[in-house]
Amino acid sequence: MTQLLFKHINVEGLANIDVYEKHGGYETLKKALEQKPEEILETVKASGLRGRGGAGFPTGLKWSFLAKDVFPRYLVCNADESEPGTCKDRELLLKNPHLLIEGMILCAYACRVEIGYNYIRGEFYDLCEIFEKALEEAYERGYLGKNILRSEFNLDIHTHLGAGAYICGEESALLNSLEGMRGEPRLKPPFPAVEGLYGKPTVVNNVETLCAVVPVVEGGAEAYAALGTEKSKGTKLVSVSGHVRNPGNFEVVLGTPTSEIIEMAGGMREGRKLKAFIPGGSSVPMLPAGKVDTPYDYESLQAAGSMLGSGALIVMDDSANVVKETLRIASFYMHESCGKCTPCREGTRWLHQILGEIESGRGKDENIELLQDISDNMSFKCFCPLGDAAIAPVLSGIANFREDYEELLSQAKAGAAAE
Amino acid sequence: MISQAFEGIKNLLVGLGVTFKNMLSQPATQCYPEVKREMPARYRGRHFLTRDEQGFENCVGCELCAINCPVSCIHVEAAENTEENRVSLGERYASRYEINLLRCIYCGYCEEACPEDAIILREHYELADYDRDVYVADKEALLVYPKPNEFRVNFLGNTTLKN
Amino acid sequence: MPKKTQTETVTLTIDGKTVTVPKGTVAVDAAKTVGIDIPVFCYHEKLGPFGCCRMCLVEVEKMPKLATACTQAVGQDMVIKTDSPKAVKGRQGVLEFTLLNHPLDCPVCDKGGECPLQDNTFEHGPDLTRTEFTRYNRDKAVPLSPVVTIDRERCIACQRCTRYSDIVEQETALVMVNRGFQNRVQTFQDRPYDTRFSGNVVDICPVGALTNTTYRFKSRIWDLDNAETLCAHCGVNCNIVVGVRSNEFMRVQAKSGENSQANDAVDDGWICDKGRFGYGFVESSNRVLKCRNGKGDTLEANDALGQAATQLKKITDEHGPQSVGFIGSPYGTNEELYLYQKLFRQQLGTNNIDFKTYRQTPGLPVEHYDVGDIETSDMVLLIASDPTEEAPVLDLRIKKSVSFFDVKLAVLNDQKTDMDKPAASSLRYNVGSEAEVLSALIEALNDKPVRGLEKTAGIAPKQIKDLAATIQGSGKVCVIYNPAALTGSASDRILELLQTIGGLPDKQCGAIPVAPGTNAVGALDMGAHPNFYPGGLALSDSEKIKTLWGDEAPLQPGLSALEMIQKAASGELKGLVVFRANPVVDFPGGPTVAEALKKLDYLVVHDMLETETTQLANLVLASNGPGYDDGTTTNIGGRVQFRKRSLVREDHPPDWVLISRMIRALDPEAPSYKNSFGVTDEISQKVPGYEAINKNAIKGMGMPRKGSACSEVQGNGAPAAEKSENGALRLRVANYLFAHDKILDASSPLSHHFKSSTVYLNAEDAKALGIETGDEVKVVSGDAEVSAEAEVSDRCNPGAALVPRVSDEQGLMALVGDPDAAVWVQIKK
Repeated sequence: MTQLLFKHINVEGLANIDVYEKHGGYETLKKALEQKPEEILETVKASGLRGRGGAGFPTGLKWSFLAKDVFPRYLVCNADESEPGTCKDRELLLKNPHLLIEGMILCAYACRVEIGYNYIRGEFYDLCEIFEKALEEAYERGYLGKNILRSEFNLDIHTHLGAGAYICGEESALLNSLEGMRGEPRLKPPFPAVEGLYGKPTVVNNVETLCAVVPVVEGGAEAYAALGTEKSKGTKLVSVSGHVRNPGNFEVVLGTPTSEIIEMAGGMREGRKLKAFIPGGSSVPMLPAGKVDTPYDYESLQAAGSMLGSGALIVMDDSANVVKETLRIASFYMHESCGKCTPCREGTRWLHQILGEIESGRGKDENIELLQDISDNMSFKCFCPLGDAAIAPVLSGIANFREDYEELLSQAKAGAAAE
Repeated sequence: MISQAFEGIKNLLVGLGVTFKNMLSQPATQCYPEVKREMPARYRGRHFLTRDEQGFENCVGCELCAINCPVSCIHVEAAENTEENRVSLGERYASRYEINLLRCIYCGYCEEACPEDAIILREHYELADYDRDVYVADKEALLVYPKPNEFRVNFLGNTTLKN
Repeated sequence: MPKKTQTETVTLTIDGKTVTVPKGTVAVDAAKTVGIDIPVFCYHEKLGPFGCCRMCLVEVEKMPKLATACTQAVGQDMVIKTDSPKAVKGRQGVLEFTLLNHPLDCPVCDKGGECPLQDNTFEHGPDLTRTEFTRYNRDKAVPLSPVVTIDRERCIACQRCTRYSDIVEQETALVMVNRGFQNRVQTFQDRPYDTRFSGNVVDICPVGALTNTTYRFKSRIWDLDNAETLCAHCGVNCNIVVGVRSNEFMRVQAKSGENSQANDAVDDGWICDKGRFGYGFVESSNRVLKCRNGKGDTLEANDALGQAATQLKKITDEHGPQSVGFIGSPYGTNEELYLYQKLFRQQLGTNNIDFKTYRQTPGLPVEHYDVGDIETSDMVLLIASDPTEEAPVLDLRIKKSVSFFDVKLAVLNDQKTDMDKPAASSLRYNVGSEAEVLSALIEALNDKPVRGLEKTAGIAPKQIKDLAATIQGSGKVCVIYNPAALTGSASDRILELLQTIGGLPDKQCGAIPVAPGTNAVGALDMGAHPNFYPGGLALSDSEKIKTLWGDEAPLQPGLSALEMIQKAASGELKGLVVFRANPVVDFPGGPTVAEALKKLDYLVVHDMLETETTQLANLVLASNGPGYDDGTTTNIGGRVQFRKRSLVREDHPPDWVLISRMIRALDPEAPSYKNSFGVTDEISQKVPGYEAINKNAIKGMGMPRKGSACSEVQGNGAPAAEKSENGALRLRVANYLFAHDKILDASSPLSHHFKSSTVYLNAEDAKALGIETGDEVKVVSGDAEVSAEAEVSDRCNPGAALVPRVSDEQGLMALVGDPDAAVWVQIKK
């Protein structure tokens, strides 16, 4: 089992800089500062590292899109981990904040950024304290501040605590929130790489992505690219939750069959069979048990009709009712829709209302078609991907588990007839 | 000569027969104003503004009747309901509602257009009067359900208003 | 926001039609050019792309998903389909979402009939509703301010209003709060929405959520007769649409893309709240409806005007032409002022004609810039002007130019104004030292050494030099100044400055004089000046005057308005006509003016409202004024526009008829005019610069008149600033937009803006005087005193007391004597 990010995760006191350094911490940085920024960028590009936040965009490519010669430019770490089912960044921040700091320094060096922000989810105030303590330690040791390790490279990192909005995980909404404005996504183009924070070029990366930069630079592009499949390289942290014996975060090499990951988490509960699983957090389509052997990588999951997303594997056994699960997710999206665009604002609420009717036994046969049509009217018509995320569980639930819907509808019919 | 006389008497009797027959049959006309004709329920006679069960006016002063009126005989002015002075249930009511009954052609478009069923045309057809001014029916007049049989014949044979 | 100069074009196809538009145009605007109407809610051409309502979904070939036409910049060879089944279904779906929780208020909604949501639903919406749930109930009729009401149920969260507040008025007074379907428009921290431009959100709201409280339920829009006319408050002359029902004033809207076409050369489609809500004077109970004599007997208009004309003629026959005079108003139209000066010059033979109490001569040594030129300038130099209070829509235009067109704004003022915020540099000189500062700036521009100004003007030479360097470094400079706020010889210095800037190499320079009043520029052009004939003809230009006005045209200089008051006091002036002015309150001197007017043998006051001056009149002529009379006005940018009447008065002739009849009473040969354009035609023949102005030329957007030539600029150094005596402070009378005067009376819906009398003192002076903010003080000058509340602030430099004119009752002008001399006041507790 290859462990890159979680290699030392269970070492006691890793959040302390001494312990971190004892386990090889900041060694990569020292080596990297001897290279040119372009070389680091090339290494990351060649490694095939892809964004771990959800979209899976090649990281090196994203960095190279930064508008040339426009300064100041910013690095923003997206620690607004709010996708239901995802808790990987939390563990990294909790146990290994220095890995993130090292990753941010490497990224900043490669992108010639001198100011970095870590936008931390509002509910993670305890992690914010840990991170700020780690920052202090890094400043003390000269890993941050002016003239880092006598390389003439400067970097300051600031933390910012969000106010608890799912939408602020979307990069442009995050930038708005960071600027002190309302957390609403911005119009793209211009993309953040051209006009981001305060109208300047900005690179926005997920915590895990930035952490993964450290082993990429440490071991070199080839070693990292050797892991995983043809297009999905390296390792991925998977947060397994739901009906498994031993939920938690697991680092797996991309391409590992999903069934193996479920086994890592202790497998199904006694006497229960797998019914459905959501491979990448609540905003990707759910898959039936039959597809459990799909390799866990970007391409295979897409081919199977879902997405890798943020790597939150939610497992449901046969005690689960898909309508109830969908309703739960729909209520989340209704609550978290920012309200900027009409289809998402109104659609998420309407979906929730109809699912609520079906779930409480007052549904009508035509409701299924209505749900599909509302979803179609939202699909790719919203301002940002939140609307598309909100319909994914609805459409996949109807496609794969129509019997759950029909059962509730026939109960409703029977109930109405009895009255 | 005699046959001619018979022929004459026969014709006379036939003619009288028609007379007697009609003397005994019901007349097609009615003795208006002593007798009033029952109009069908959907007859488009005079207008009437309705109230709801609680006694509030249904009219919200939207003026759709006025804009639909082909002869522009309706004039509406609206105002806002307040807690102290609530006239209709919504936010708005007609502070002024006037129909020029002389100009009206009784087409019923106002009734068609009304989103609140606030104006209806009823079976009252006795609209004659001596005073032109009363033909501009204001809200007060329109909100009162018109009394039937308003006219009678005086001893000179002219119709007058009762009382 | 479209860039001001974009020459590159792209060609594309929309629904099979080929379109060529400038690069960067969004698809909605490109489609409009070929008559394809793509429905929008959140997009507004003045607010720029936003893309939140999703109403404008269209199919673009080679794009996997539908694009919003309001954010999609068009590209070369792009193929856009607005009517493909995919796009139609997309829009229908979006409309269904929009209507999901929108109440069925159409019959009672003030927007009903002119509602984009109604129109778009009719055109693009689904036939049936599929929701079976009760609509989301929210607060109805919540006042955001006394003049703007919001209905939260009707709001579709398009964010036009919040973006307007953010981008256009730049106050961020309206914000979105809460998330998802619970989001709503709210004022920042729940303060009332009482900005100067709040009413515009009513126009741009695409549903009936934001409504005009004064128009609430007053009529349906199909009852209204709409007149496209002009606002009659300040010199910008914004284009407005007045809605009238059965000859009754109902509402004012900005003329904008919503109802017509915005006049970008004037107002950019926005108006201020005074223009929108301050129309109460039109139907005020304080109006002069009938002519009357001094005893109060009502007179027929024709009898009254005949009396006035013959009486004035009698006085000139007895005492000579210098014994009568005319005080006009910058609120009159060109026609009215032209006819009055004609009456006085031709029939009564006098040049005693004026309309103002400050010094200004017609003509500029540089180009007279149109308001639209601000956007294309590289630099705007704002001198002694406070657009926010004096010409509010100009404030919006300057902010827009600074924010979106990279125009550098430099402010030179003796008080702190709202314009300091967008300004790149802002210099505050001591009250009364403008002539010195302007002289120093001229020196600096001529690369001469600048002497120390710290003591007298409170400005370091370096600051002046920096400002001069900025001016020298800018290609196109637009100077905006308020002639009425320039004291002493500064009115000459400003012309010298303009001449200097205009003379710099590779420089384009123009000026916009922003004097108070609707038609101050027009009044000067029409010759309401004792030393200038119409079109800026100086009296010395006798040859030209004689060709235009005949051999008997008077050539001796006339009296200015203030001189007329002085001569009235001394008894030399016998007869005076005051046209829509209120010297008793507005002229320096206050009560002494009333005493002077009382000494006149014959005072005719021609006004639309009862004022302190009408009380003194021997004859009051009723004036119809804005709303009832047609006429043209010339705005601060020199643009002549037609102010159409919106209401009809049948019992009283229009002012231009009344004045022309006065002329005919004295000269039966004088022309009678068929309509107000008859006078306009005569103006085009008689007033140099107005040759091209006629009915058709000024239709719609108006037309700039040619600025008249500037008389020789007198160049001699600044006088030494007067010294203060025993701790007195120099008085600066500032303007306040919502002053409680005859126009905005107590019944005005804007009364919440009324302010109490306040004197602003610098901390330094306040400390010396022992005065703190909130103290009740008296501002004393000679015998006159004005009570005010003290406010210690940095609004002006030390050594001055700044008092805004907030009401007629304040009696502020009583403190002022000769406006050319400094006014020193004592502040007493």
